[in-house]
Amino acid sequence: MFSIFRIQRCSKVCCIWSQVKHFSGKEKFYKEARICHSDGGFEINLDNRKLRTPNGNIVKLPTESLAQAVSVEWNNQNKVLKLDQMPLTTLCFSAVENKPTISAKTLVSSCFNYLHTDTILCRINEPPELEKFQSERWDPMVNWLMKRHSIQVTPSSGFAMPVISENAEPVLSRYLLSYNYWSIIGFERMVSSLKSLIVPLALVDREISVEEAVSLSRLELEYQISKWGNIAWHHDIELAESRMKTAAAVMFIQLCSEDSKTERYREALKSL
Amino acid sequence: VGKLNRLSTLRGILKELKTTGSKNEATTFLLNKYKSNQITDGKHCREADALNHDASSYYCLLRSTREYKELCDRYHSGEGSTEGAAKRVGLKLPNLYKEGTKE
Repeated sequence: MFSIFRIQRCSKVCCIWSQVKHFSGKEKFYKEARICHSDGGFEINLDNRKLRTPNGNIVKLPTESLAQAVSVEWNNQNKVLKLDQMPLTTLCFSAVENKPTISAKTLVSSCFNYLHTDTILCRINEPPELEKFQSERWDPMVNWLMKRHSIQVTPSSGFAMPVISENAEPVLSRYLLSYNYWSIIGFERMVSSLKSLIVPLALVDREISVEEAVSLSRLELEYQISKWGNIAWHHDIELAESRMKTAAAVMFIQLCSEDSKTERYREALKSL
Repeated sequence: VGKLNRLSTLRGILKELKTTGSKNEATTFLLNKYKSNQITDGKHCREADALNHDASSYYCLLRSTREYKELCDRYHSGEGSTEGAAKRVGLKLPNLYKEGTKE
């Protein structure tokens, strides 16, 4: 049952694996990456060439901070380009390529669907120690969500689905749609990689840190590691990758939402 | 405690940017951002907390990207893979047959 949801979600967003393959392994063909203003946005120049997606579209970034951060990624490359180590660039490509074809509403609806099988809401009963551990770490997040957005959610275990109040979909959809398209791309990526809607919401609201968010999303794994040991060449890589992707997604969202008027409006809503 | 935390995050970010040989442009931009958002201590300001959170997130991004790269280089480099793999589990490769050598 759960896997059908997952397949539906994966097909919605343009697969960028082919883009990663296109760039990765190519030799570094420029000396320096610099940013420049362009028509209400920013672009990256790799020496004389504008940064383009693998499909040839110019990457036009909405804010200067984001442009700076992306240029850092390109300047960090050594002899060979490795796109899997450039998560901000990957998100930019995704935003540029998907904007004409996939609507914000589709992305938001995809994000919301994760709530039904949210990591934080699906509990395991065995062993009791793990159940208690989940309750200690995850219940505060559930309570935060309910207070922050005035909705009701109840965790479940076994085959039962979590209970979600009727107003959850309109409330959370409206909240997510208040972000611009690029930020929503960042949300969608974070939600699908952490397998949770609640954790990204808390992270973007700055309730928890990136490290905490990643830890919450891999709670059972960390429990098992504490019991059975850590395998460096698997677990450490997975942890670093998860942190890198999550940090990139939240930075992407914050840097894209830097329009101060929207930020202040959202902050004001928080205090209500 | 807030200021010390902020400074150590900034120091961490600058160190990460330096090790990867990033251009001074980004460093200058970052430092300007910090200067323009300096807030006197003692005032609890939501904006300052927000910026500190963003700085910590950025530091995490730079650090974990470097860690991911180092781990991939260490475990997935593919160089001398057979010998390296054998060594990893505590074995040595047998003497390999070389064509043209007299036995």
